[in-house]
Amino acid sequence: MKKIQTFKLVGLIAMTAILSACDLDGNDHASADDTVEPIETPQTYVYEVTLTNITQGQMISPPAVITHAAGVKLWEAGEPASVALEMLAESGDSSELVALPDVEHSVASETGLAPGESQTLTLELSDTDSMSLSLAVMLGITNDAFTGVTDLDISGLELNESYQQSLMAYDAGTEENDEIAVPGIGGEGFNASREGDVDRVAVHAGILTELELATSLLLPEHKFDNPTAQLIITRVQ
Amino acid sequence: MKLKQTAKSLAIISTLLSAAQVNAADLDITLVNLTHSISFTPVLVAAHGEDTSLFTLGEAASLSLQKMAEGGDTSGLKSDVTAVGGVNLDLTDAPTLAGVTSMGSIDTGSNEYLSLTAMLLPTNDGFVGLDSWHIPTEAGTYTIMLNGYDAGTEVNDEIVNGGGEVGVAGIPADPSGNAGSGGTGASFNEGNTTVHIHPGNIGDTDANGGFSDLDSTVHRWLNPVAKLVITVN
Repeated sequence: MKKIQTFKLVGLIAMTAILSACDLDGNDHASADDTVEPIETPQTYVYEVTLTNITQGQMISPPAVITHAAGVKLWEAGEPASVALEMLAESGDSSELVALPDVEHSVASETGLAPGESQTLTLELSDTDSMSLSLAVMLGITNDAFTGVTDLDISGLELNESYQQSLMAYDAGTEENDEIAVPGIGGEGFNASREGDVDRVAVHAGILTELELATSLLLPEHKFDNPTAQLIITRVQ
Repeated sequence: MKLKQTAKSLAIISTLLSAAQVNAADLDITLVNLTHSISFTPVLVAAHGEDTSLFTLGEAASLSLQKMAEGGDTSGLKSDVTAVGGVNLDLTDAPTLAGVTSMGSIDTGSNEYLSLTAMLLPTNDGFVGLDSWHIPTEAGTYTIMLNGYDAGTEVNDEIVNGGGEVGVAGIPADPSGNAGSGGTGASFNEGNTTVHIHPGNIGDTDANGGFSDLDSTVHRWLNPVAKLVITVN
């Protein structure tokens, strides 16, 4: 049931450390006074970020874990969604979120999560990096619902310590919930128009399905209540 | 950010202070049913070790969990807990209605984790649950809000037909007496065969037909479904 996917983000740090410890000038230093100078290597923190789809029948879009400076928020309830978040929430495409200028590091998966599935992304940071984490994924069988966490400070996590959070569903407020323009069942994805919706992020009210909305293309097994996903972050190095 | 750091260092301190004592906990348990009209079958509280769980999100239900979630039968879960040195408390021994507060006490022995389950009625395989809460070593009162889970073992057809046995479709009963009959079935597919968050009842307003035997004005809920208050003595 569990799909483990590992993505290396900053292998460069370790590589730099190895290179600086090597003798690159070509001289032979076989003499006894060839003492090793202590080198200040940046400390590497490695985090395993595991997301589990705990809905009954919602597809979750491929997750992307993003780090940035503290105080950066990918969304705020009551405020209009950015176009990047709108694209994520309406189509499941996180590429614009990942490309936001505030983003310092990101690890993205290429596959989504079926109900009950888990995925683990591995995030490597240097101790000089920003330690605020965000993650946003679409609930794929809705118009513009997403779940995630934003501006989560992970700097306090000790080695082998875990942080767990249950994630609630938000409505991006950028597309009317007609339950027709739903990409997870072959309907329309991103559309720049926000006509017909409130143009602010809110907690999602849930879906009606064909049982309660005559024109809905959604089925009862697509219904959800909060929380919709489980996030576990463990510092492993 | 709720890190376990503080709890951990507190745990270390209290371990040092009571190093000679056996690590036993005497707990007072209070469970409040927060729903509008959803009943709980007999509530099982279990203390167990780190390697045991009654259910895990994203993993298939055990047969024992299925029996509890589809029919309210906790005997299998209790045997499982006893087999690994755990301790059980039957917080209630008969179904209790919405709004009811149930109380009890449990001596957890050397078991450091606490779980709770009870079937939600009327549902097909819904249950209120607590999964492996690490019992604090510091005395005090702790409050946890509990969600409604779906065992993933039976389609939520919302038909009240007495079916509470494993492999038999349907809902055993509605102790609140608000269920109808003649429904044709609310759902015909189980979207997630692992333990997940219950999407809630749908119901309709036709007591003698429609797609569901449940009443949409009575039998719905939103999480949380219960409040659990634990006093560590």
